[in-house]
Amino acid sequence: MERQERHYNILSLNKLFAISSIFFLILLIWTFAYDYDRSWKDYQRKFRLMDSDLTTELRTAEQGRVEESTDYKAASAELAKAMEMLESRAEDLKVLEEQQKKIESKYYKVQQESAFAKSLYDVAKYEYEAAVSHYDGPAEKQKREMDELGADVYQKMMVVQEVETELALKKSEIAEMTLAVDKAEKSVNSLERQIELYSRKLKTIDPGSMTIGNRMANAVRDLPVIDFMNPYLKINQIIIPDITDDMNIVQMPKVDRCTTCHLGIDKPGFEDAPQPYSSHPNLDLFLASSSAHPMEDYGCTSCHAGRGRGTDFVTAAHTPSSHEQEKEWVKKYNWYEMHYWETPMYPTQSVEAGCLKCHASQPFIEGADDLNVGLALFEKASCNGCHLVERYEGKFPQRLAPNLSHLASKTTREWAYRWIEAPRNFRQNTWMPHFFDAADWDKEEDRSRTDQEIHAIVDYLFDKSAPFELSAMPRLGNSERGEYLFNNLGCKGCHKLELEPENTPYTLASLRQEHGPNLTGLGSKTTQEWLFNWVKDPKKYHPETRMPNLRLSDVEAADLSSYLYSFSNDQFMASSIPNVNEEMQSDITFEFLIKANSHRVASETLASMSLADMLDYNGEKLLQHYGCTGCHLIPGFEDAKRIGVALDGEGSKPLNKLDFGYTSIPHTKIDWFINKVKNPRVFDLNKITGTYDGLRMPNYGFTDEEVEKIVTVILALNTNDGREKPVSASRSFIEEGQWIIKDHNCMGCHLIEDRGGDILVNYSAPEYAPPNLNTEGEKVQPHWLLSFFENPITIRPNILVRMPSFHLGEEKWNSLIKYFQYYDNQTTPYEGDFSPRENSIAFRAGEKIHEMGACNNCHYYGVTQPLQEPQTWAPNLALAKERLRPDWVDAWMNDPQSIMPGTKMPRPYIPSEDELSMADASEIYGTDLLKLAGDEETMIRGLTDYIYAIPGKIDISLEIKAFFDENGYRFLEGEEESEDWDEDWDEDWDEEEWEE
Amino acid sequence: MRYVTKSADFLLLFLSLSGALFAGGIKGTVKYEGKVPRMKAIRMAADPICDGKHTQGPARAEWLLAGPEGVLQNVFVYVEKGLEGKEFKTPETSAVIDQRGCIYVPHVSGVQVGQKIDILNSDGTLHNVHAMPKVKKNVAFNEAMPGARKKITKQFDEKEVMVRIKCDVHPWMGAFVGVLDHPFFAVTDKAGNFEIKGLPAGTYTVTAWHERLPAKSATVTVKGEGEATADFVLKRPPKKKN
Amino acid sequence: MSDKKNIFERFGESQVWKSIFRSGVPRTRRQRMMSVLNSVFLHLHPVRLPRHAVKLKFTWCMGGLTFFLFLVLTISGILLMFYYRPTAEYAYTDIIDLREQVPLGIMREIHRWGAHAMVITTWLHMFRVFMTGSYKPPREFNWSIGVLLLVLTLLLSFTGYLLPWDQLAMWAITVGGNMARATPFVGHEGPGAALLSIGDINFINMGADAKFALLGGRFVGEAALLRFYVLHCIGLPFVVMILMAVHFWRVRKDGGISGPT
Repeated sequence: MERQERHYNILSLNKLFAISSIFFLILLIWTFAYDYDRSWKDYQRKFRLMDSDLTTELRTAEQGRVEESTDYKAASAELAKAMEMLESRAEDLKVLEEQQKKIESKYYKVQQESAFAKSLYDVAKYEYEAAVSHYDGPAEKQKREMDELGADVYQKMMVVQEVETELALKKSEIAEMTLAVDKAEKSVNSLERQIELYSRKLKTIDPGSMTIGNRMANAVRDLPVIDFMNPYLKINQIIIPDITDDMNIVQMPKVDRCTTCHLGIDKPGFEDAPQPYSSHPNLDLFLASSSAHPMEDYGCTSCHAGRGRGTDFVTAAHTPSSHEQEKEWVKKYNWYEMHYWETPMYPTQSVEAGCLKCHASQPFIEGADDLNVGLALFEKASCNGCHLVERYEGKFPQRLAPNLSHLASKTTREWAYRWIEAPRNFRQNTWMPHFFDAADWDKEEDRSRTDQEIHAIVDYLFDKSAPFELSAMPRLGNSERGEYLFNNLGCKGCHKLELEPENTPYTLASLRQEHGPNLTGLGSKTTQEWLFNWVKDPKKYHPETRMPNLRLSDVEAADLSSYLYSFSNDQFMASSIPNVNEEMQSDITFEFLIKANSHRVASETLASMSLADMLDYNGEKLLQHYGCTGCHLIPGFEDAKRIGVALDGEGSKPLNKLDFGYTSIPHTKIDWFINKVKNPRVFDLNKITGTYDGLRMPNYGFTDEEVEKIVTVILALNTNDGREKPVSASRSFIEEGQWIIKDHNCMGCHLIEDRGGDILVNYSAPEYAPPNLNTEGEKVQPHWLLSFFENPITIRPNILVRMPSFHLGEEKWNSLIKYFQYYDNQTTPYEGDFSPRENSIAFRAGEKIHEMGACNNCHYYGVTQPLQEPQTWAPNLALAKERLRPDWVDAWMNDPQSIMPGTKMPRPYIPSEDELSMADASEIYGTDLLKLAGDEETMIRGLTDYIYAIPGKIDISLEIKAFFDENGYRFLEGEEESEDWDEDWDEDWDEEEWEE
Repeated sequence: MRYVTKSADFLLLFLSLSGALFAGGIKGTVKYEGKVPRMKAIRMAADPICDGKHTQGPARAEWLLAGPEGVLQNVFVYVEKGLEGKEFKTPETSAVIDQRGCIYVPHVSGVQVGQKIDILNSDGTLHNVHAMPKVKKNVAFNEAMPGARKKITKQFDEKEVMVRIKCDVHPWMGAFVGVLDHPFFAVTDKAGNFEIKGLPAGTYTVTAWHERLPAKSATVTVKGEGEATADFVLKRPPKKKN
Repeated sequence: MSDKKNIFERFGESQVWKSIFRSGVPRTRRQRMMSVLNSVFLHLHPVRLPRHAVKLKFTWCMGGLTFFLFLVLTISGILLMFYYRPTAEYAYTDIIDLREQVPLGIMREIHRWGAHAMVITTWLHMFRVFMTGSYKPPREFNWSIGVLLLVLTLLLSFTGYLLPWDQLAMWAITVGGNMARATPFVGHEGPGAALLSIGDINFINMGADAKFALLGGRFVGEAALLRFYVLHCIGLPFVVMILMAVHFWRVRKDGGISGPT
């Protein structure tokens, strides 16, 4: 081999070069391919097929429907006929069209001439004006010329107008001929319009329906590199400049690219399609441009959170809804959590967490029932007692638990000890959590200390309990009668009496029925005397209580308390209570003393304290430590601060701020919250903390579903950006009223806004239960309503259930009345009195209708009793003038069923025109009705007038009470309506016997 | 495509027409098994007019009218399944429910969708007719019928088994109306017998409904012009746990 | 006197001097020659020039002035870059602040006037080259490079014009963009654009044509501003510098400035 001039062997260099070139070429192609192959393109391709299929289906269905319809058949027949007719006159049409063409060319010519003449005139005009203005000399010549030309212009213009008219005439002649065809074509086209739209859509998306050119374009436009020009597969995005993502140093406008893959989200028809193609549920409320949440204004991440700018399953920060789903996703999509994205998407079960930041001022949010249940649980468990949430400030009380100022008069130390130790042992559905006996890892050695803690607390509370005078009961009371009262008086609107745990999941309705505590076991807890005093006047013992006053008589209160007292919980009271241990007490005291003092000072102070002093001191410190004052009013601690962390913004807390301790809980925010709510002190597991430095949150015993809902609420309390619509004045009045209604559980008894009325299940018919408050704002006179709230009278005579006295104060009552008014758009605060004209035809006609309707069969007239049995009794008509608004009475008379569905009030008998034109009409109906024949509105108005003129006592509460005291409510145990078939069946069969 | 649908139409028309020609029927008896409870007398003292209409002895409750060997009256027997896709004309004649002696007569009846129901008041006293349908398209109504008002006419627009009608003035009054989209229903008479005529040949599910006993269904095949038989035995429902 | 000589001489022969400048302080002819040849900046010029080469009446020194202005613009531009932010929010006010508040904000005026001047000198230089026939062989290629440099200069002006983000800027560039969209074939409103379509799909469309490429969008907005900023500060100067190097080198190689053909 001859020695080459190069240093390296060129052949091997060439080989190396070739190999590396090929390698780099492949790399280059692979780079382009990898970049080109995006996952969202697959979804878009698939969706295109789905969309074509759906559109084809819809088109076929529409075609079928249209062809079957009579309109279409008629229209196409018309069209065929018209076309035929036109065909026959085709020759004439041609002649006319030629004529039109001639006229048009003539028109063009004369127009041009006129335009030329005008421009010549303009020149002459200019000359004249210039001559006059610039040269000051005579300008007759110019003027003459100008005038001549002006006349010429005028002439030519006339000619133009003539030709114009001719042309218009000719056009209308032609139009006349084609009129029928045009009309028929238009109607056929309008019927086929939808089909046409579907076909057009298919032409753009379905390769099978495209022209050859488009099919080629379709193939070319998405090729690599060329797809920068006009691709079909492209990223879709919604840019929302005024809702921003918090990037710590800057607020970035949201850019949501979700619709790149979620292509069917705003299109109806894909409800059953698999994700990501399915339609959004409830498109009327979300996404449609006419809805309350149009997609262009809100995007997706403002409700769902997540990373809108991602175009890939993983980078969009989707959150799996369970650990099983997480495993699935890891397998299918190589899913991993976007570690540094601070607002991952809400999991499906918590999706309503996104509603709260814009709807924060509302007590409950229409359409977000999961969130509503979560909020109700949050409020019931009084989370706001320890953890401040701004939402409730001024709207919802902080302290929902009983007032402990007079504890000694209510219960015993023995009961209180056992209760504080484990409330759920006494009352399984109590909302008071377990501070002690909280978790499996509570150490045994801690037990002896916590026992002493409870002693100290009990001691403190009972020592500091202010004396409370209990008035004596007149008699022991009849427990059976008490049960009857309990079931019917209305207690069940807020209370349950659940002796055995039922363990059903909470719904909004069941939470309303637990507004007050479960009344089981009261015999072991308190005295009958205390119960008597409580039901007679709750506010005397606990001024901030939400329990209203049922205006019970002494006898009723005695009976009721006797019934409630009859339930005891012996098992609960049988558990043993350890003795007070002085040594342990002094340990506890010492622990607290050294928090604020040096050891020496602490020891000295300790030495000087007696056992009683220590118990006192410990009790005080422990009450503060456990934060009891967050929910209970305790003497000396009225202004104490909440001990928990404020929860506004908790949902936005970055993961690194949450302490997982030494637990093996999966490292996600949601898992932390779930475990925290379920087992609050779990994060202290295996930690060594000072005695009183560990976690203090007590255990509520929530089930997994409840935890999920509460976690949804926590996620909802975040600092994400939203778009709060400014609340209009009327909206704010309505919301204020809704807070009051929520606070006092009006919906437990009444149907308001079509929600609530849960107490109705206890009554055989809605007419014996608290009424539906539909249209209350339109219905009642506001000052009457205020007087009713302050002093309820009997309106419906035959119901046993009683409207309690709430004593809310004038301000709150006014808010509530405004709520009803604004809800029904009755915003005029002042109305004059209504005085009917007693001499009018309408009045007399109304009188006649009233007579025929036999209203006094069921209605009270002052103190005059109705003719029928009590089960059909209806309100006092003499009350109407003070209570009801006449417009509403008109509407009520017109159609009672639409205002109160299921009411037993029938539509009054209004004779029709036919009936009034019969021979004996004037005898039966009277002349006034005849005069108003056909005018139902005036007849009804006349009836209203008559009712407003009915005299009689307005408040007949006493008379009604007297009647029922004597006669009882036998009909409520109604045999006709009863479902106790067993009773009927078990009676003896006796053919011979007839019963009178 | 069009040709196919047109010919299918024609076939269907032929079949339905032919069905009318070659029609059969179902008949049978409904019996009650078990101890027949006594029907309590109704106290009508609250309304003297009503009371005055029962001079021969008080009216009795009607919720289980059983005769000898337990034959059951007032059972509503109807074809529940088997007539899908067929359309039936609404009859021009009205059904009649009368309020006589403060009792609805008939206690149980059937009408077709859109058929007019004339509710008469032969008592001359105030009644109100309060219908409580549960199906959305059937409008609930509550109309007063004072003595002077002799008749009101109502109708139901959607199939519902059964609509309850009651009177709020006289709480013991109650009637049941079954609304169907076809005319193949019947109410058993005193002897417990029913007959449904004019059914085209085919296999049907026939259901016997009673106001308190659980309903029973049976599959019946009607061949051509023959009469198929379907007997039902209804039993008392199991005791409710308290 | 002898001290001075000593200091300078000593310094001129020190290692420090030699390390930087290689040859000594130019005293001899050879040293003078070497000091030019050894310097990367100075060796742009030939070591020796014929006398007529520096005749102002012949060259007008326009080329040199253009280069000098280019350097001025580069340095003033870099200084401006410290305070100017190319976003719609800040651009306009930053320029105002540069003029009124920033010390030596006169850089903005210098840059602007310098830009105007550079365009003028470029034209004059071209004019001069034409008048003196300095485009004739073997200098044809250099003339082409010069034309390219002219185009680039105008583009630099064009891109720089947008940066103040005032009405004048925005509308001027809008007009420029509208001209781009009328380009045959590659502009969507130009003749022949429809020919580049298949079926109903236009490949040259509002979203993909020369105007879109120029502006980074369909209208003059933030994207255009950023794009023009990058072109003005880095893209175009980079190309200009390369072409300038070629241009000057060719001048040398073709016989020197004002040299005979």
